[in-house]
Amino acid sequence: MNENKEVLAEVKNLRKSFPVNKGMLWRRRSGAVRAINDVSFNIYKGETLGLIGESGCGKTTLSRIMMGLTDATEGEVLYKGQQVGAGAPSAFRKEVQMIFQDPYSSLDPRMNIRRIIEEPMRIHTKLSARQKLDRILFILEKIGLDEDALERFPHEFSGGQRQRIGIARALVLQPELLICDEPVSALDMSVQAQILNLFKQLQQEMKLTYLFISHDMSVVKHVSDRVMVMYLGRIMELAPKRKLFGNTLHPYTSALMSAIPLPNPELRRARTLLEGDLPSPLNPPAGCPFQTRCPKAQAVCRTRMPALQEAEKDHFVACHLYSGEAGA
Amino acid sequence: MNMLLSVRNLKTYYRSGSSVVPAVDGVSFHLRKGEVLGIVGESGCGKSTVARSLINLLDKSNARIEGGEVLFHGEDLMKQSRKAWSRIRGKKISMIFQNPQSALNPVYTVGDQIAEALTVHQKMSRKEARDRVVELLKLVGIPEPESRLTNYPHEMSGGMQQRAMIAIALACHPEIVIADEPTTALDVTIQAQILALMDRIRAQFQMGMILISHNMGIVAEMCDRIMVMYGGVVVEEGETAAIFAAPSHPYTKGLLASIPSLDEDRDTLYAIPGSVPRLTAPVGHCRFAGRCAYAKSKCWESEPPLIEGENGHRSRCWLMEAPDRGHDDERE
Ligand SMILES: Nc1ncnc2c1ncn2[C@@H]1O[C@H](COP(=O)(O)OP(=O)(O)OP(=O)(O)O)[C@@H](O)[C@H]1O
Ligand SMILES: [Mg+2]
Repeated sequence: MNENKEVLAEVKNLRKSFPVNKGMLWRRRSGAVRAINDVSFNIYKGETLGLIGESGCGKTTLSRIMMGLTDATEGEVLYKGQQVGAGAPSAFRKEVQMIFQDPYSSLDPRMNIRRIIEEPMRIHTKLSARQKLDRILFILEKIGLDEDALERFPHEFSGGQRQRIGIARALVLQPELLICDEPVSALDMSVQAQILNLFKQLQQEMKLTYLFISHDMSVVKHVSDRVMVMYLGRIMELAPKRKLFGNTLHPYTSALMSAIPLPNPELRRARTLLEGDLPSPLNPPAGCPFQTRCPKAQAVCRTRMPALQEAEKDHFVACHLYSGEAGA
Repeated sequence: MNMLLSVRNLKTYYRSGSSVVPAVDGVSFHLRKGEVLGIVGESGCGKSTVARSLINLLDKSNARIEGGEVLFHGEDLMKQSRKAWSRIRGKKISMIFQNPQSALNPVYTVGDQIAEALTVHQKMSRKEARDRVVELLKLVGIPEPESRLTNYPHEMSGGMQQRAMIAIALACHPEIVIADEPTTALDVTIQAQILALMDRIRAQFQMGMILISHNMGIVAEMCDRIMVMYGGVVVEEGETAAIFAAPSHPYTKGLLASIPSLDEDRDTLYAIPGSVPRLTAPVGHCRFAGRCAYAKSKCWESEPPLIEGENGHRSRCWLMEAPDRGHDDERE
């Protein structure tokens, strides 16, 4: 299925650690948080790749590296075959845009909506005033806001409307890849549905590719073509949506699904509750990071991290249960 | 009988500049012993204001209870003195907040804070208090409780802090626990642990619980009855199974249809048009009318009362009143 697809972005053996300083006097380097640990995957043109995981799994760090906002410690990110980061070609800066979680803090309160949407074009293009206005009006219509919104300021809008404005700002440069970091988490339920529908509609109309990050499994399932599950800086499972949900391989993915309260009282079910807390990324367990909470952990899991491998066609999993190393 | 709490026509308004926000505008409900009542609704619909009114924790500078009564053991909580409240809050009725960081005191150890909750209401020796604290920490599933006694809140993870908060809330075996978004700040796997814990303890001590959430999944799993709020009023109330199987208010229907589902595939979600309006008192129409596909002129002329249907199911919608309720939902 993926062979004939065009690769838009490639992430190769990415690592990112943040040094953690302790001790006031000499700022001794006492360790490092490994936010991203040997992560590799592709994003194909036109798809929505969903990324799901709990706090500390590296979601936001990954998106910042992909945007070129943070440098990787090791490995690389290629966009259309070219390296992302400082000195990336200007095409990259236009074609890859980001949508943030918080529609309140991500818009400058002193700018009116016209300025907010216009700003990226002033920085990245040489369009005339007329051309800019045409684009603004085009985008405004796409995202479902009236023209009279232009002269108003962010505080005059609801959360859902502000998220629409954030989307407009990201779309005005006609990007190809949109990195969406928890774009609906701050929204109310009824507004969340509007914005999710808008994402789908825009994708069809503007041929967009999304990396869609969320902690909400149902949202990820709704929007994605493929889904990637991360835990403590590592990819645990990556598969087309139907395979990931229909034939879940990794015990962590199963646990995540079992933990979600379903809005259907008839489905109240016996859960497999995970014991214990998420380990600290400062001091991750040896071997597989999930072994401390995994109901299926075996001896090998405590010493060696399993590689991410293709257990079935297009279905990748990093778990010794499928590596032939653990007795099933 | 086993009625624990009965709230009648509670009104709590906030003054904000020159306008008056009818945050809670005539809310009535009851809670039985051992029952879990869910309050759901979107941000700003008044859930937390209901909770803070019940437990007398409103911001006195701009919040005012405009009316209503809250009967607890036959006494109106709205008429209690400050002194009386200090014997009720924490002992008879306690509260679990969304954000354990802000509810726990950063300068005291967790052990001290739980001990304080115990000794405010009961006399006991230091040794007794310590033993009780260890017992409580064990009850809420904190491993190695003896060594956790001396932890400060920041030395614990979010999930642990929330367990400690639950321990404080339960210290005196209250009859009612009000939990306002108790797991919203937590990761899903930790949320599942905390919900299971709350459910186990509630059953063990036969407490009544009011669980506030904006998450339909959580109330579906935890609650016996559900109250759906919109714009400061209850728009629908009923048994959990009935709310989900046969919602009657257009808002509830819309909400349920707008949730992306894990067990089915839908290409587009139903989306309630518009957004939650900012209301000012007094409100003389159905608060949902501006977003409702079925709104007719009557809905703009007067606000519907909660109309009672079968099995105590109540819905604040003029459509309920029609002799034939032939408004089969074309959105479903
Ligand atoms: N201290 C306050 N001063 C003024 N207005 C307030 C205050 N607290 C709440 N409000 C207003 O009262 C209404 C109800 O707020 P409340 O916090 O009870 O809602 P909620 O249902 O708990 O929302 P959320 O889901 O966001 O917690 C809102 O319009 C809110 O803006
Ligand atoms: Mg609240």
